[in-house]
Amino acid sequence: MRLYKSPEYPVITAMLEVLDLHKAYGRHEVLRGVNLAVRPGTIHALVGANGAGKTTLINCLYGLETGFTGTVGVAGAGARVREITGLVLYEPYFYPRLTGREYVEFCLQARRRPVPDLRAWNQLLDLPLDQYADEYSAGMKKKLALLAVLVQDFAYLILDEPFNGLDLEANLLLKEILKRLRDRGTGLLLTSHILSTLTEVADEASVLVGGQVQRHYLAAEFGTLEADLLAALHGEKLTQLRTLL
Amino acid sequence: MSLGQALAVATKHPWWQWAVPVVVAWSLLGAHRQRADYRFLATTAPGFRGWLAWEYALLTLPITGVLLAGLAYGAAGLLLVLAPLVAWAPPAGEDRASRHRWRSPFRSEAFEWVSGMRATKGLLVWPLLVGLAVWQRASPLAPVAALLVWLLVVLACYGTAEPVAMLAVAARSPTQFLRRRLQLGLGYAAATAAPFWGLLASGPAGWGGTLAVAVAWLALVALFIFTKYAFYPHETHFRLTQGLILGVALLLLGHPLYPVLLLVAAVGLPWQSRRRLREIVGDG
Repeated sequence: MRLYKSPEYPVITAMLEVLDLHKAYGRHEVLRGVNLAVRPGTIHALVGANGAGKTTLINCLYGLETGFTGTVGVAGAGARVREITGLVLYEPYFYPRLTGREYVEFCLQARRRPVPDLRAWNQLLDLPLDQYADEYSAGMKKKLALLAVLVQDFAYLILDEPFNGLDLEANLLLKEILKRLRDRGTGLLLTSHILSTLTEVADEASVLVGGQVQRHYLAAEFGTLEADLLAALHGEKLTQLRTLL
Repeated sequence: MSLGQALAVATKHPWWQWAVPVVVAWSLLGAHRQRADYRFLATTAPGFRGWLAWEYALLTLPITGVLLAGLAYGAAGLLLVLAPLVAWAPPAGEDRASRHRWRSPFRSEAFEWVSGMRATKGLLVWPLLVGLAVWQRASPLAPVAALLVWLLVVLACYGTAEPVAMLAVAARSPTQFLRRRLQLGLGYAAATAAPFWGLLASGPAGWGGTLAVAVAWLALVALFIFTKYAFYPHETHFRLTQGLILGVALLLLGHPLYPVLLLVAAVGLPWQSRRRLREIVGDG
């Protein structure tokens, strides 16, 4: 495993860490003592049904949620999560009447980073950068949100359903991008409903059920992941299915 | 003059009465082209345009009534024809989506200005205002009126809440974020208002009066920015409050309570905006 190194940041050997995270909305507890670690140069998949708490966990980790208990942060380093981590949300929204190029420039300028020539990256992603971003299709919006983090050389990336809305071509390309980022030392936390894609690229996975990490899997254990998930999420329905078929 | 009074005056004028159906239909067209339910209507009720035609005819019926009451039968008839026709105009998005956009002269980090100037056609309004103010420079009120119109354009730039992800990208801390929004907003506001201040200074107001106007004008812009984040992300709340602040500032001497209200806003809004941002993006 190589470690992340950027001219702007020191070598990051620490990891993104979540310890005993609890988050509730009123009386509804969404996260109940979640523990998770994302290491440099690894892809960590976060798996769970809708409502399991994946997006809440990501929001807490990135500081978009307050009022939680537990610890989130970069273990062993003084940096804040948001400073060294790029985020792509499940459903990226863009400010009206801002072109794709202007959005990427905003992301860079807001972090006091130089704006590079976007042509090289855009040859891969093929976006109409001089059209309004809020008028892009869902897949193009996702690619624009990805472009804005890819040009920034982050130590960590948190990607919520990055494959959602992408066509086959972009899907394959994104998998390759994620693998290459991992190989150069970037730590990635990603969620997806497409289990096969996750097991193909991830090095480890945490299964979130009812706001708790039910089990942590290493790549070698992915063979049992689907069956375990079926049992965890649809135990009773499976029994019913066996009586029907 | 209220809209009702303007309508009553126009109805009685032999030429202005014809402007009424055109202006009403034009406003209706703008609203129709921005309809958020256009796709929904197109997919669920293919014959929706006929219904919309009835809706628009009914909506403009009170104005048609005023025109008829003013014996402007021709103008009333024209409005009855134009209003339903609007229903057949295509939505704005259909021809906008694939259009290439020109580069904004504003830094992308000042997204409010980049987007706001496009929405308000501010880059066309500004030279027009400067031209009018120069043309009418003999009147000391010309630069003041231009500054007021330009303030409304700037206010419109701060009427939309950005997605929280943009906030998270830019906000290392609430204080740093607000400081940067103020730097950019006040910087561009001052740069664009400078010609009007120059004209004001060359008139009877002099440099002292101009300085007072400039400080008050920039203070209002700053309050608009603070108001946006004090009520973020609730656009209706912050737009209403921004409107109230502008109203109170314009009528400052109209009631002894108004200066106190403005003072409370000037103290409370910066505090509340930091507090609100801390709730949303934490301390960084």
